[in-house]
Amino acid sequence: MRYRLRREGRVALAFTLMMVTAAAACGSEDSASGSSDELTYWSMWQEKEPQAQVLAEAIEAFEADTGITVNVEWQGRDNITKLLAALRGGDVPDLIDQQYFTISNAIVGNEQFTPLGDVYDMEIPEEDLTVAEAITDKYDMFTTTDDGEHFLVPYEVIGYTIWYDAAALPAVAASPPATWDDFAALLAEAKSAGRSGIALDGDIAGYAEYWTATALVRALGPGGYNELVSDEEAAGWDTPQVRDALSAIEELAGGGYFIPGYDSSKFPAIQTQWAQGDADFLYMGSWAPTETGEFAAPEFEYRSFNFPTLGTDDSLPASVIGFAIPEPADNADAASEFIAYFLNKDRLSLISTEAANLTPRADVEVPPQLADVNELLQSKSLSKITDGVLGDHSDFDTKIFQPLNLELMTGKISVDEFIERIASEQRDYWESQG
Amino acid sequence: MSSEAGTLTTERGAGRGGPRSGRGAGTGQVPRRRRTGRPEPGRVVGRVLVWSFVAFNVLIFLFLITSSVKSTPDIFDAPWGLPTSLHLENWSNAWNESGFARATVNTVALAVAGSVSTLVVSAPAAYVLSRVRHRSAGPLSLFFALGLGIPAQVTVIPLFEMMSNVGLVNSLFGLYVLYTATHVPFTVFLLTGFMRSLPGEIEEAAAIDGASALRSFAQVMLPLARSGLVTVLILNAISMWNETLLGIVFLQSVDKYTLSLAVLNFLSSMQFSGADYGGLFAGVCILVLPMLLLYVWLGRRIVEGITLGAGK
Amino acid sequence: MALAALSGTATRRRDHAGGMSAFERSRRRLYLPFVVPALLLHLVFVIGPTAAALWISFHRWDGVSPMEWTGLDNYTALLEDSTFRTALVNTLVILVVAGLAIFVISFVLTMIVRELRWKSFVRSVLFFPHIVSAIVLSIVWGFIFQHNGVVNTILDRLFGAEPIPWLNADNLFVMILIGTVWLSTGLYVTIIMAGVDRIPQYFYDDAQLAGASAFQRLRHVTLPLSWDVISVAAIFWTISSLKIFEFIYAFGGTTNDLPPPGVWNSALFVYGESFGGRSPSYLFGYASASAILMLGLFAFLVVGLRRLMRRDPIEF
Repeated sequence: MRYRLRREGRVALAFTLMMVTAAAACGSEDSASGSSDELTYWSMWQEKEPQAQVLAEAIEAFEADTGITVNVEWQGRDNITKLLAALRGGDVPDLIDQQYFTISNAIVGNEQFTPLGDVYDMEIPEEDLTVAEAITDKYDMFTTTDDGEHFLVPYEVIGYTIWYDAAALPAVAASPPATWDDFAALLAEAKSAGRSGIALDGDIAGYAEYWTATALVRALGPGGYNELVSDEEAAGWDTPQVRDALSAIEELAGGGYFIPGYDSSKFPAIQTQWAQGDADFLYMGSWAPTETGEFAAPEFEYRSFNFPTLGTDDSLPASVIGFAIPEPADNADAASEFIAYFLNKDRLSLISTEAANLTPRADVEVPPQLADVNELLQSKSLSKITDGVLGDHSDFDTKIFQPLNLELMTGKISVDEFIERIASEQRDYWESQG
Repeated sequence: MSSEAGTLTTERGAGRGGPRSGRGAGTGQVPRRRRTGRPEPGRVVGRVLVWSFVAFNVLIFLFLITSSVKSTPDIFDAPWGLPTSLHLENWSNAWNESGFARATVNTVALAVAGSVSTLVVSAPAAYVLSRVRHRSAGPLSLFFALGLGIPAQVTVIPLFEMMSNVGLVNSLFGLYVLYTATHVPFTVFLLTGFMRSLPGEIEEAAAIDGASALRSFAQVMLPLARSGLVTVLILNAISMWNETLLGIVFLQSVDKYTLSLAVLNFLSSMQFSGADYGGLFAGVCILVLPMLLLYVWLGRRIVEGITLGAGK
Repeated sequence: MALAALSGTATRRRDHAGGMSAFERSRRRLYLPFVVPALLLHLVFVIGPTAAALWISFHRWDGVSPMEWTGLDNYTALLEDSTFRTALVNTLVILVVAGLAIFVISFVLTMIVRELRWKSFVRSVLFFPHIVSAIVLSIVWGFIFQHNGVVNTILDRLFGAEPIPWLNADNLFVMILIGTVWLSTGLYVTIIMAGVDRIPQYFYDDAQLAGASAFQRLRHVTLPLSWDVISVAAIFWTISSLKIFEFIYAFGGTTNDLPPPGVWNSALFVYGESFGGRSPSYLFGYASASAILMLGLFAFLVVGLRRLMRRDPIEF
C-alpha cells in the first residue's frame, strides 16, 4: 500500500508537470493593447461608499473630457489581494488605490510598481500648478521607496489623534493636554469623577499598538521604534527612554483608565460606547467621525488633540491613501492622466465635502470635525503610524510585538517582563530569518 | 426496478425479522420505539440538552432576522430586543445598492451547477472504489481522502497561475470548474464510505437477473444511495454557497461577485466608512435563507430516501 | 447471545457472490472509466497545486518575484517559531478535544432526536449553524459573549455577577472551541443519523425482546452497525478540523486584522503568513512549508485512524 501511494504520487507529479507545461504553452499569447484610450481601475471602495461616489463623478467627467474609457471595478478592500494574484500572470489593472503601506508591501519590494515621478511633474488640468506643487513634499515619507522613487500619489490623508466630545468635556476643548503628565492628570480626574478615561477595541491588535508605538516614537523620535525592532541584537529595549514610554502605557492599565471590557469585546463595540459617551478619549485615525457618527449622541462635538509628548517629539502620526500603477499595466499613461485629473482642486475637494476626509492639498477646505487634525497636519512634522513597523516588519509585528503589547496593556506583564521577553523573542526572530 | 427492490425488501423482511419489520413504507416516519415502562434518566437529560440546543439556535436565527430590520444604533443599544421601528429599507438597500441581486444569481448558478457536477463526477468513482475489489481501490480512496486536508490558502497561488494560463480568471465558469474539482475529494470520500455499507444482495439479485454493472449502478445503486447523494449534494451546495477565499482571489469584476463576497465587502467597508449592521444582517439573511429553505425541503427527502430507497 | 447471533447473520454477505462472476467482471471493466474523471480533477486541481506548494516550500518567495531556493530553511525556522508551535498545539486541541465533544454530543443527540415527533424540524434546527457563514456566526458570538453581551447581562440580572471577560486573551481559545463544537455538531448529527437510520428496526425490536437496555442496544446494535459511517465521520472531522478557518479568523475583528496569534490554528498560520492581516507578510514559502508539515502530520493521523477504526464492513 505504501508502495502504491508513492507511485501515485509520482504519477500525480508527472501529470502536474504535463499540465503546467501544456497550459504555459497555450497561454501567454495576448499582448498589450498599446493605445491608451481606456484604463482599468480596481478600487478599494465599494460603489455606495462616499469616496466611490466622488471618484465616480470624477471618472465620468474624465471620460467626457478626454475620451478615455475608465473600466472601474468597485472591488472593496480586497483589491490588493486580487492584484497580487493577478501579478502572477493575469490581466493587471492600470490603476489601484489603498493605504500606502498596503501598496508598498504588495508591489514595492518586488519592483512591481511604475515609478510615478512623471505624474508628479504633470500639470493638473485646469490649474496652473503641477502635482508635486499641489501636494508638497510633506507626504514623500509615505509615497517614496527607500531609493527616493515615488510609487504612490496620495488623494486622502489620515491623521491619528486622540478624540473626545467637546460638548461633554469643554475644559479639554479649552486647553488640550500637551504633555503626557497633563494627559495623565485628565485621566485621573475622569476616574475620580467615575468616568472611564480611554476607549479601546482591544481585539484589534493594531489599535492597541497605536498607543505603545506612538509613545515609543514620542520618547525616541520618529524612526526610533522602527530602528528598535529592526535590530537583530534587540539591544535598544533596555534604555531609560524606552522604559519611560512603556511605563506610561503600563500605567494606563495599572491606573484602571481603560473602559471596562476593552480586553473582552468585539470591534466596534467599544468605539460605539465611546461615541455614546461611556469613555472620554479614543485614539484613532481621522476616519473616527465617519465610523462612529451614526452612534453618536446628537449634540456630540468631535474634537481631537495630538498624542501628548513624552520628550521633545510632537510629530503627528499619519498615513495616506493614494493611487499607484502596477508595473505590468498596459495603460500607464491614461492612468497617470487620470491621477493628475483627479487632483484638481474642485474634484479633490469632494473628498472633503462629500466623503468627510482630509486631502493632501492644503488649499482644500476641511470638514469641521477634522479641523483639529488638519491644523496639526499643517503645523507639525509627520511620522508614520506605528512608525512604519506595521508595513516594514508586519510578520514580526503581528506575531511578536502585538501579543506582548496586549499583555502589557491589559496589565498581565510589567515593563521589565515586557522588555525581557521582547528582546529575547526579537533575537530569536531575526536569527530564524537568517 | 423499484418493484424489484420492493420485492427484495419484503423477502428479506419476511425471512428475518418477521412481520414487525414491514414498517409502514411511504409514511416517511420512523416509528416510535416502544417504551419499556421504566423512565430512563439519561433520556430526560438528553431531551433537555436537545431542546436547549434547539432553543439556542432558534434564538440566533431570530436574532439575525430581527437585526435585519433594525437600525444600526438599535442593534447596539439592544441587540436582543425587538425592533423599535421597522427598517425594511435595509433589505431593499442590500438588494439594490449592494449588488446582492446580481450576486444571488451568480451564487445560485455556481452552487447548483457546481454541486451537481461534483456529484456526477464523484458518484461513479465512489461506486467502483467501494464495490470493485481492485488492488488500487484502497490506496486510491486514501489518496482522495488526503486531498481533503489541503487548505485552499496553500494552493490558491499555483491554482491562479494555472487558471490564468488558460484564461479562466475572473470568470464564473472558471470558478465553477474550481468549485467542482475541489469538492471531488470530499464527495468521493463520503460516498465511498456510504456505498460500502449499502447492502450487496440487491445488487447481486440484479446481477442474477442479468443486469449489466452499468445498469445496476444506475438503477440499483443510485436509488439505494439516494440519501447519501442528497446529503453530500446539500453539503457541497452549502460549502460552495459560503466559499470566500477562491472567490476573493479569482473574481475581479464586481458583477461576478458571489453573495459571500458581497457580505464580506459589506463587513470590510466598516473600516473608514462605518458600520451598517442593519444592512449587513439583511445581507446575511439573503445569504442564509435560501440555504435554509433548501435544507428544510431536501432534508425531508433524506428521510424519505432512507425509508423508501433502502427499503428497510 | 441473541445479539451476537444476529450480527453474525448480518455480516459477510458479499462472500456469497464467490469467485469472479460475470457481473463482477463487468463491474471491473467500469473501474477505470468511473474512476478516471474524478481522479483527473483531483490530480489537476488539488494534488498538482499541492505539489507546487511543496516546491514553493523550499523557497523564499513573496508570490511575485523570482523564487529563491533556500532548501529546508523554512522548515527549520518553523520548528523554532513559537507561533507555529502554538498553532500546531491549537490545531491538535481542536482535533481531539472539540472532536470528542462533537462526537459524544452528536451521538447523544442522534439517539434522542430520532425518537422525537419533531425529528425533522429538530434536525434542521441543529444543522442551522452549519449553513450560516462562520464569519457571521462569530459576529453573533461576539454579541453574546462580549463584555456587555447577553450572557453577562443575564448573569448580572440574575446574580448581580461581575461581567466575565469571556473573550479576553485567556478565554478566547476556549470560547472558540465551544463555538466550533456548536457549529459542527449539527453536521455530525446529520451524518451519524443517516448512518443510524439505515439500521433495520428489527434489530432493535429483537434486542428489546432480549431485554437489552438502552446502553446495550447502543453498544451491540447501533455502534457496530453504524461503524462505517462513524469511521468516515471521524476521518472527515480529522481532516476538516485542520481546515477550520473563518470562525477563528473573524475574531480578529472586521478591519482585516488577524485574531491574536495565541488562538491561531494551522490554517490561520498559513493565512497570516501569506495574504492575511492589515499589512500582509506575503511569505509564501514559509506559509507553504507550514501547510506541508501539517498535511504530513494529518496524513499520518488519518492513516492511523483508519487502521484503528477498521472493521470488516457490515452489510445488512
